[in-house]
Amino acid sequence: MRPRGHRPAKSGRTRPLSGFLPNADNQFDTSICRARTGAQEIEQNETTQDKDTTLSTIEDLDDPPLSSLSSLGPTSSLSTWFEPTTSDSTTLQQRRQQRRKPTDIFQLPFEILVGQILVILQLSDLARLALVSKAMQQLCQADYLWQRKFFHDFHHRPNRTLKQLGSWKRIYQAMDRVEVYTWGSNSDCRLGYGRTPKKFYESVPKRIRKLDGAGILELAPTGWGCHALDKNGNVWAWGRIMETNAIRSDAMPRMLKRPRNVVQIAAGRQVVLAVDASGRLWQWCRENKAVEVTLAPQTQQHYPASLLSTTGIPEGLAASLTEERDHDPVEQITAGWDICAALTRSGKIYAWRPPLTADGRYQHRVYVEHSVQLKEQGPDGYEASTMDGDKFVGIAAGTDYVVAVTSMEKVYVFRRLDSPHYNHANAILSTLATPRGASHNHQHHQHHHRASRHHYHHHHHSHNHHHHHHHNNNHMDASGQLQNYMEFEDRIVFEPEVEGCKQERVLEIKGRLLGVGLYLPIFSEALSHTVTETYEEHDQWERRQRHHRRQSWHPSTVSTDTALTSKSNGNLQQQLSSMPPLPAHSTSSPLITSSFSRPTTLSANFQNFALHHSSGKVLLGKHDVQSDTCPIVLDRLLTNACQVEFGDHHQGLLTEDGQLRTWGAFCEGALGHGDLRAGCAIPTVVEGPLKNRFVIKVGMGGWQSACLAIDMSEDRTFGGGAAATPPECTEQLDLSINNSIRKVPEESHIHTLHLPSLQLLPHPRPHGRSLQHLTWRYPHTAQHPVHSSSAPTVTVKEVLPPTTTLMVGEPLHTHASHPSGSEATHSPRSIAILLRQVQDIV
Amino acid sequence: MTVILVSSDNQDFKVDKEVAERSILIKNMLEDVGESDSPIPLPNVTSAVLTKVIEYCEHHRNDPVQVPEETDDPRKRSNDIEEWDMKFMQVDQEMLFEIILAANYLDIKPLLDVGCKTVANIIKGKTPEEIRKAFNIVNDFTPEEEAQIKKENEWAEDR
Repeated sequence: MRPRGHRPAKSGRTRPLSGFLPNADNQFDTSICRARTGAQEIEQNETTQDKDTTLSTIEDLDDPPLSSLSSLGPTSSLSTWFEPTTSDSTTLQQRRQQRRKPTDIFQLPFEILVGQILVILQLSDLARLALVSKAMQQLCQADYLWQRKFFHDFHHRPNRTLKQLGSWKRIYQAMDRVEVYTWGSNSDCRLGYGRTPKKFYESVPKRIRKLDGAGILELAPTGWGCHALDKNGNVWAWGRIMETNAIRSDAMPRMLKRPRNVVQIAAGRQVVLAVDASGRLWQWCRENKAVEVTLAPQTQQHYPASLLSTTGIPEGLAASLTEERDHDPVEQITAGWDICAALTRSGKIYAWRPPLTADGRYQHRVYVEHSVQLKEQGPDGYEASTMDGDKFVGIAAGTDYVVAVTSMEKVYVFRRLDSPHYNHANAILSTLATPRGASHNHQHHQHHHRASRHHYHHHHHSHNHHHHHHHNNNHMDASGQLQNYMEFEDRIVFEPEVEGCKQERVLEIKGRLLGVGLYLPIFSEALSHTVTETYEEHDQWERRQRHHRRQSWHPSTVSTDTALTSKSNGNLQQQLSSMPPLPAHSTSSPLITSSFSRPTTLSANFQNFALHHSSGKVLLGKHDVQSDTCPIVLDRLLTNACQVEFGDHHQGLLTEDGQLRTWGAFCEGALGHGDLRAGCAIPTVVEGPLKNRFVIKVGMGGWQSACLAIDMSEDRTFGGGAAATPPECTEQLDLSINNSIRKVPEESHIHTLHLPSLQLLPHPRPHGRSLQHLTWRYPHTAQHPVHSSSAPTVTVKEVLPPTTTLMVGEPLHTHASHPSGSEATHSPRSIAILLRQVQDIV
Repeated sequence: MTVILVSSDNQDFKVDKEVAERSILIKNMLEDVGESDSPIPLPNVTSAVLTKVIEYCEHHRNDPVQVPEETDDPRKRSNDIEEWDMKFMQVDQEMLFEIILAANYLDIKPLLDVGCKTVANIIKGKTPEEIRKAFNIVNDFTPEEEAQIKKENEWAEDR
C-alpha cells in the first residue's frame, strides 16, 4: 500500500516528478542550486494548493467514504506511480539509467492521467475506456476522477444531501439527471410543455421532458417565459421575453444560437443578460438579438457624443475597454423590470436601463458608462468610520431598484430618481452640483433636479414631522460631493430593424437617470449579526433596534426579529439559558467574524428582495425599504434556507435538504400546491411530482415558477448495478408532541417567533376568534450541535393577539389549516413562520 | 538576458530569460537565486525533450501569463487545441508522455494542458479494442467481467 502522503486526492496540482523520479528530492546532491530546487518545489506546492480554489472546494467537503485510491490494488503497472524511496547512495547517473521511458500510459502520474486527461473525456468515452483493461477500469471508477469531473462539468457546489450519496460518482450521476419542472400560468406557453390550448395554467409542478439530460444548471424566468443555462454554456429559452405579440413565443425549450459559452445568466421582466466565458456581457430581449453591453469604467474620460463612432464606442477606446474588461471582469449580473446591473470583480456596479421594447427597434450596442463605488458613510452613528477595502460583492435588481451588499455586509438600495419610493433626497438636493466633472450633462442635471424636487416636496409634505432623524449625509463626502449615487446613462446606437440594411445609424443618447444609494443600517446590522454571536450582543442590538423603532415613522415599517430576548417569552428565555456556551470566537465582533465568511447572496424580483447570509440567515425586504425599515429575518435555525426567490406575488424558499417551500398568492398555480386559490401564507412544501425529488435550484418569474430537481428514488439514480443503497436524503426529525402545553400570556408582544420545528394544527375557532396552535421546539439535529443538548421543549402558543399576522401580512385565521388538507405534519425544522406585529396604524 | 539550461545528458541550452520563464519552476528559481549566470541543471529532462519544450516556449513567449482565477470556472476552459500546438504535438507517444512529464516538472501549465488534451483526443471516440491498440494495453477481462462492466456503465454510453 502506498504511503498516505502520496494520496493524489489531496493535491490539486501534481507534485513534480511523482512517479517519474520517485525520490527527486534525494538526488539533488551536488549544487546549492539543486537543493534550492527541492525546497522550491515544496513551497510551490503549498502555494498552488492555496490558490487552487477548486481544490479548496473539494477539500471543504467531507471525505467520501469510498476512497477510490485505497480500493486500487497494487497491480504491477499502478505501483510504478509510487515507487518506494530507495537509498540515497544511488548516484545520479545510476538513477538516470534506471528511469524507465514512459512508453506506457500508466506511467503517467495518477494526478495527470486521471485528474487532467480522463476528466476531460466524455462519459461515453469513459464507458468504453473502462472496458479496456482492469487497471483502466479501476481508474475510471476512481473517486478522484468523479470528484474532479463533477467540478469540471457542473458549476455547482454539492450541498450536504448530495454529499450523503457517498461516492462522487453517485453525486455526479445524480447531477447528470437533473430535471426541469415548471408550473404556474401558461399563457404564452411559458411553461415549455408545448402548445396545449386547453390548459391555461398548471398548479402542480410538471416536468419539461425535452430538457431531460440537457444538464440544465441555472434557471432565469422572465415575465412571460423562462431561460435556462446548461452545463455546456448553451442558453435555452421558452415562452416569451417581451409582452408583445410581435414576437412569437416558443412553446418548447429551444437552444439559442448565441451567445455561446455562457457562464452566467440573469433575467428581468423583459430582458435577459448573460456573461460568456471570455467575460463579454450580452443583453437581449428577443431571440437572436443578443447585443454586447460594454462597461466603461468611471475613470475613463468622457467622450463627447460626436466622437462616438458608428459602433457606439469611440475608436481607440474599444481596445482599452477590452483591456479593462479583462482586468476587471463582470462577476455578477442582475436584471429587474426597469433596470439592469452588473457588478465587477473590483466592486463597481454598473446600471443601465433595459432595452426599449415594443417599438420594434433594438439596440445595436449598449455602452454603459457609470459605476457606483462605495464611499464612507456615517448615518446615525452606525458605522462612522471609513471601511478600508470594503467593496460591493453582491447585487440584485427588483422593479426599479438595486440592492447591493458589501464585503463588510453593509446593505444599500439604489433607486432611480423617478422611483416613487425615492423620498430620501432631502440632503442631496442642496449639493447636487456636479456629481462628476462631466461637461455635457447640463440637460441631465435639469432633469435630475426636477425629479428630485418633485420627490422632495412629496417627502416634505407627507412626512415633514418625521424627517428630523433622517441623516442622509451618507451621500456626501467631506467636500460635499455626492457619493453613492448611481447614474443610468445609456449611449445607444440604433440601427434599422432589417438586418443587412446599411442605412446610416442614428446615434442617440437617452435614458439618463440618476439614482441614489441609500444605506440600510438595520439591514446591515441584522445581516452581520450572525447566529454565533453572544446574547449580550444580541441584547444590545435589540436595544438599538428598539430605539430605532421608536423613531420610526414609516407606516410600513415592520418590527421583527430578536424575539429571543423578548422579556415576555419565558420559555424561549429558558431554552436559551439551557444552551451550552457558544464557541469562543463568537465573542469577537460580528463584523469581524462575518467578514471572513463567504459573501452574502441576494435575490430580488418586483417588490421583494432577500439577502441570504452565508450563515443561513435570510433577510427579507420590500421595494419601499427606507433606512429605518426593519427586515424580516428568517433564522437559519428555522428555515435552513439556501435560496429564496420571488415571483410577482408568490415566494419560494429552497431548503438545504432539497425541499421547495412556496407561499404567497395563488398566481394561477405558481405556488404549486394544486388548486388552492386562497393562496398560502405559510411556506409550504411543494409536493406532487417533487415528492421524491431533491430540488437544487428554484427560479420564479411573474406568475410562474420553475425548479431543477434530482430524482432520488433508487431505481433511477442508482440503477444498473450500483451496489449500495442510497442513504437517506433528509434527516429525520422526531416530532413528538409534548403534552405539557403552556400558555403564553396574551399581552406579550412577540415580534418574531423562532420556530425551528413546528406543527400547525387546524383548530376550531371558539367565539369566532382566530386561534392557532403552534408547536415548536429547538432542533435536535446533527448540524446544529450548539442546540443539541437543549431539552426538546415543546411549547404551544395559543391565542395569538388578533393584531398578529403571519409572514407576509396575511390575517392569521386564513391559515388555520394546512393548504394541502393533510394532517399538517410538516417536515419539521424547515418551516419559516414569522409573526410580526402590525403597528398601530389604523 | 539569457539563461543556460542543462539537460540530463549534459547538453547546454542557451535561451532567453523570457522564454525560460514560461516555466514557473525556472522562474521561481531565478527569482530565488537572483542575478546569476550559472547554468540551471534540469536532471529530469533529456535534451530531445528539452528541445521540444523550448520550441514550445519560444512560440508562446508572448502569451499573457495565466491568471490563477481563470481556472475558477471549468466551463471557461475549452477542449480545443490551437493549430500550432496540434502540429507541435504530432510526435510519437513516448515523446508525448515525456513532454507531459517535463511540462509537469517544469510547471508549464499551458503545455501540460495541451499534452493532456492530446492524449484525451487519442482516446476520444475509439472502441475499447482501438484504445488497447493505441496504448498497447492487454485485455485482462473475462467475457463475464466485460459484460458486467458494460452493464454498469450503460447510463453513460450515449453521452
